Amino acid sequence: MKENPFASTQFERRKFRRANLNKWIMFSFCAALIIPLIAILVDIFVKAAPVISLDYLWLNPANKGKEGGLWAPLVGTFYLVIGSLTLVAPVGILAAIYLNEYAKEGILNRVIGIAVTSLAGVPSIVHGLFGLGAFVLVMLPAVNSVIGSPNDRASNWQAGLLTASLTVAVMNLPVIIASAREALGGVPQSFREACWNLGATRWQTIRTIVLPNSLSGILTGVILTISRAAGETAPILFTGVTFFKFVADAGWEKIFPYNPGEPFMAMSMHLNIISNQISQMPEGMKYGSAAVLIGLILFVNSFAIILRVWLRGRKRW
Amino acid sequence: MTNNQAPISRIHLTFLAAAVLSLALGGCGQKEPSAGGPSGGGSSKKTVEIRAKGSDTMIQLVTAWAEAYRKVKPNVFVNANGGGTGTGFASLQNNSTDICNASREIKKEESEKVKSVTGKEVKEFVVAHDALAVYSHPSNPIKEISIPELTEIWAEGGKFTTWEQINPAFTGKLTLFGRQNNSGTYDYFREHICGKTPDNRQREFRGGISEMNGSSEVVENVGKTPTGLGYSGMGYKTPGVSWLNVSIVKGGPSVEPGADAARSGKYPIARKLYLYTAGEPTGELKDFIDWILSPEGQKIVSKEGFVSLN
Amino acid sequence: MARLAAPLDSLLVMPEQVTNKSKRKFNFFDSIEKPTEWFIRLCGWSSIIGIAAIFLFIFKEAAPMLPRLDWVTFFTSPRWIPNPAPGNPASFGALALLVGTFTTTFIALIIAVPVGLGAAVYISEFAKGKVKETLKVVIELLAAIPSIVWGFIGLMVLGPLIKTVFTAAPGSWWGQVMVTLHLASAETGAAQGTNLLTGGVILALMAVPVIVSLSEDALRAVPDSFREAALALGANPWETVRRVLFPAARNGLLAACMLGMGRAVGETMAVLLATGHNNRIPAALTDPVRTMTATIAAEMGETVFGDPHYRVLFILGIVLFAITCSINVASDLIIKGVKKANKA
Repeated sequence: MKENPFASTQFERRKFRRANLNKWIMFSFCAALIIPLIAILVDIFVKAAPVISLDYLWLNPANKGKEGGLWAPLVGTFYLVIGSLTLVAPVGILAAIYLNEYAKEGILNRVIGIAVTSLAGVPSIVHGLFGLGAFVLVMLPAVNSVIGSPNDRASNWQAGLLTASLTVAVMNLPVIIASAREALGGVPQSFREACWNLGATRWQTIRTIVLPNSLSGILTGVILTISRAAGETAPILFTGVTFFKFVADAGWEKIFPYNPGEPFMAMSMHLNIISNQISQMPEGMKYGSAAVLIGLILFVNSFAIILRVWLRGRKRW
Repeated sequence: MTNNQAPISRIHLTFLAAAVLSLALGGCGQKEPSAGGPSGGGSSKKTVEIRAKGSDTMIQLVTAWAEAYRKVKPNVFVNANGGGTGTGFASLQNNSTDICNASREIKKEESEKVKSVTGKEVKEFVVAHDALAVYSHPSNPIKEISIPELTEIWAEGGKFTTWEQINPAFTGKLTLFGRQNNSGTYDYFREHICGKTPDNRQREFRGGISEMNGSSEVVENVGKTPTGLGYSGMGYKTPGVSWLNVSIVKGGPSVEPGADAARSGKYPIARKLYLYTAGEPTGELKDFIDWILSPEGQKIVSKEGFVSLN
Repeated sequence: MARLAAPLDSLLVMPEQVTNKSKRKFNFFDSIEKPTEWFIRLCGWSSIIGIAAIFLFIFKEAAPMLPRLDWVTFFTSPRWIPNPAPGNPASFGALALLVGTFTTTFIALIIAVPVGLGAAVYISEFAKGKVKETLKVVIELLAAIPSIVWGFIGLMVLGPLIKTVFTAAPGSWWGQVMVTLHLASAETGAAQGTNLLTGGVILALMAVPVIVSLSEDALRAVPDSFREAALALGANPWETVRRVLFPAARNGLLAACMLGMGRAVGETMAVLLATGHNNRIPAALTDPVRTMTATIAAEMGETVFGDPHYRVLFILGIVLFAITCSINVASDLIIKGVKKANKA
């Protein structure tokens, strides 16, 4: 019988098998990442299920968090996110515009680039130290010397929402710069050139062409910043978060419980404290707050993902 | 292209406007309560804020007082913060707290510092007793321990590293759980257990002790560790751990931590818990402290697992 | 490129354009062009200002202690007694903390580098369509989980698991194996469940998304012509990955791993909850340890502002800042090197 000259040789077959095996090994790495993760999340959500209800979100914590719900820390996290975003979003987006639209290739641009990466790599606890040194110990006394009187303690601001928001804002600056820069970079150069050729100035081009076309990308970055601000604990530890604070149970003061110069409660800190510092904390409450925090982050992030998918479907260049 | 582009960018701008608007609203909302908030006092009934800061051992107790006191006086907000006794005294100096909750007596330097900065004498209130219990795992057959043995276990240079050195009834390496180094519990235990060096200096703790951030963390970890040994306030006992009876000398009569033993001083590592104020308290602050010392406030002390004054 | 085209409009002022301009309605947004540009320029500097301010303020708080600190003790002694009894001298030996940080990071990298690179290669070269998109989304969600939640998972889920696995009756075969291999100490096993290994695994899970997404970028940056050339020479996909893509994307992959390491070194809340907070030099894989970040987080709230303990914690902050900054700058330089090489 004549051998098929195109049949793979022993060597080739072995090579192929090995290649296939390697592919499956790499797939199993992915699986090894994802399956336990899903198992853990399911475990947390299952253990949290008995306590989770609308009341759990709406009631204030009582008896050191052993009873009641999560309203006070939830609303604190909300204001922290809003506060830090108001501070960082404009600066970060404008910085990205500068880097992408104005800056010339050169040493300055390079230095800014390195500063952004370094800032992104600063450990969160070092951001916390910075917030303590800069905002709590230097900025607050300066603010108080203007708005407060030394004798009336109530008129002086303490470390609170303002200082914590500032700290988180600094921490999120590189995140927002990087994502906004990517979004701006995605706008084709030809769009800008077309606009310039119509006689528009650089600023007019940015305002009318570059920004509208990259807005969804920028928004995605902003959403990611939200999720990061909502989950961080270390930067706010010394800059204004507190373990327990009374929040009104009804009325407007329930919606706006904290003023910027007062310590506030936050979800991440709440989880930190109740998971290991309160005696005889019921398991359900621990898993409940973990599940709410995870749920919040995943919810916010899924917005970013949906937005991106939608953006990609719509993109015409 | 331009025709297609125009409506889309309008959608974008709507997005932007919505985002900016929500930010702006949020920003305003944030500032609103400063007028009518707890410390502002702008609303019809005057709200008063009392700040308490200090010992982590007492945070459980002070928070319970604070919650109960709101039923007595709804317009008084007591904000309790931990941070350690040392931090509490530091805050008393710079007037950032009204009350310092302390799990040890104030040191002379500290009271002098408060006086020199604020010009007021520190006022001390004993509000409860506490016994420091030595916790072990329920499966551990050893139920008694003496002070000299504890010294060998905890102090720097101590001889004991395994359970059989203490009592052959149990084997295994000692796994030690203590408190972090600025808590009053840490200070107190070091002073009363670690003893003195030959040249009459306080001995420090040995290395390799897991230093926990909170009293309940110590108890929880001991409950998870069969070879564990830890110290923490009596109020943090859970069903998951047992405590050791402590004797002053080896073989002497051992005493179980408890209310009467702590009050009478029979239990060797019992201490008082204090509140400190700068100067004589007045107004709402005085009322709050009086209420704590009243039978009603003391009932909460026993409910939280500490020892009431009487 | 972008920078060249813009100034043309100032050269080509056409007559009808001028008349157009004069006729045009007043537009508020156009009128603020100059101040806006200055403001944008200022914002562009913000990251430099930020990094300088961080350095300055941390340095300022630490400065009074810098000349007074016994640096030899700091780097060589594990005796960390920052708050001694009255009359005793304080001892700031951070060796155990440094060892804690580096051992947890090392374990994290041992796990995260192969898993991360493997997952990146799979996503970038093998996975297709829906699978690829799903994997990318999951990796992204993995990156979004906050560190405190990772700490919680370490404390509540992983810790008990590791404790069960690494605890055996003394004398049993598993006990023998563990003692010989330094997996656990003989008598206690993995005592509390929160220890070096738990912390390392948690840090690995946190570092993986960083490694995956950056490695994927690096692999994608390899021109397709490389893959096509390999294919034309008869290489199968795995051979392409190993002999063509890995060498070509070497620098990018290295940088990805370094940034993953940076994340592990600087992580705070997860290690605070999951490593057991024990100031000792570990002798076995499941001994509890304590890292620099966790020490700052646990003790800063407790210190009296301005005393030596407080300042030494800031010095720990400087050490961390220096480590992570050098990692970041180095990886940035490596990545930039890649881009230049690809352009050439």
